[in-house]
Amino acid sequence: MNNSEKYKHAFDTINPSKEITADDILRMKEEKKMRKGNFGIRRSLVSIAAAVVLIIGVTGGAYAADLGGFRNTVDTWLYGEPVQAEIEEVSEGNFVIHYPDGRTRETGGVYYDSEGNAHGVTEEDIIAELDYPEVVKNEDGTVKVYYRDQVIDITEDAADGHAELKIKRGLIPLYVTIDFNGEESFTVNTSNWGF
Amino acid sequence: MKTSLEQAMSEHLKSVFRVSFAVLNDRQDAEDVTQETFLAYHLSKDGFESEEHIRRWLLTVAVNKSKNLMKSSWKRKHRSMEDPEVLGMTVTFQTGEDRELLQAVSELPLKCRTVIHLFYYEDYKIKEIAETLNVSENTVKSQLNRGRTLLKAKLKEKWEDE
Repeated sequence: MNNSEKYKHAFDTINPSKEITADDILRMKEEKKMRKGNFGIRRSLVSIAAAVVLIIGVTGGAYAADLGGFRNTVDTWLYGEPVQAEIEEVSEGNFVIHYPDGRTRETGGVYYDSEGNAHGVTEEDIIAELDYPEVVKNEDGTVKVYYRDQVIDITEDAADGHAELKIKRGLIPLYVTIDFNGEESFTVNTSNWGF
Repeated sequence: MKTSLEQAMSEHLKSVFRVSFAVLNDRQDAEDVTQETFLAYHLSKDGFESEEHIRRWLLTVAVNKSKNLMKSSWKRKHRSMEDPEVLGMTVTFQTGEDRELLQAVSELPLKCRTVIHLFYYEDYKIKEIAETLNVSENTVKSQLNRGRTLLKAKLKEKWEDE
């Protein structure tokens, strides 16, 4: 085989994990119509909590410029209750979310472009991230997933190290997989099309 | 002309998925981009001159969406092609050489592997790749040569000199 034939032979083994049909596409269209805003469909690979950890590890002087002061209001959820929060970008890629009860949450992160250069995430990234399930370990030892107005207790699954949830959301459910890597670390993956 | 969504998916889905996979190195992300690409096609009011025009349009949209996803995604932990999660359980490597080649391609710089895929999988000419990626032909030639050199260095005698 020549190079082209070898290349085709190798990539012909790569297929989607399941059949993608026209019905799937039409469902996406309906789902997008129902969404508020244009956040697009994305899978979350890290939770907000994980993003905070991430930023501690990578930020430095490059993100020290003070941008604080300007806030945008966004409709979101806090532990199952609808609230209006304010998002403030305090420096590039670093945000503080102000909740109406006075609570604040620091979040942020970076992404790397194809050249390996770090860029701070945008407010749009933060708003999109707010629409993902949040995993919370409570002081009483329970572990719960909060998604919009839904609260799901996954304490037993967390003890086993793995949880799979099918959460109600519009026309199609949101599939959430959570892997716990010890006491403080976990990874959240979401999918629109199954676990 | 514009073929139905069903027909377009029947004829081009695998190519759209594979070019997305070549860019993203992630099966699930490639599935997401594939769905988004066909949704864009479904919503598009563009007229197309031919079946090949549709194919080029779909591949261009898939590449652009894949690059956008890489730019906008949260930093994710590096996962190599050796991770079965990346390739998915449905993948059956027909030969060890397939796996080795996929691994080598996945380790190419993003721009190189996009050009390499369009050249070797889609059989696009330099000019067509340049049009698809909206870059100059010299840029395509440069990235193609760099990709070939890197593949040769990794695959040695399993990749022919060109």
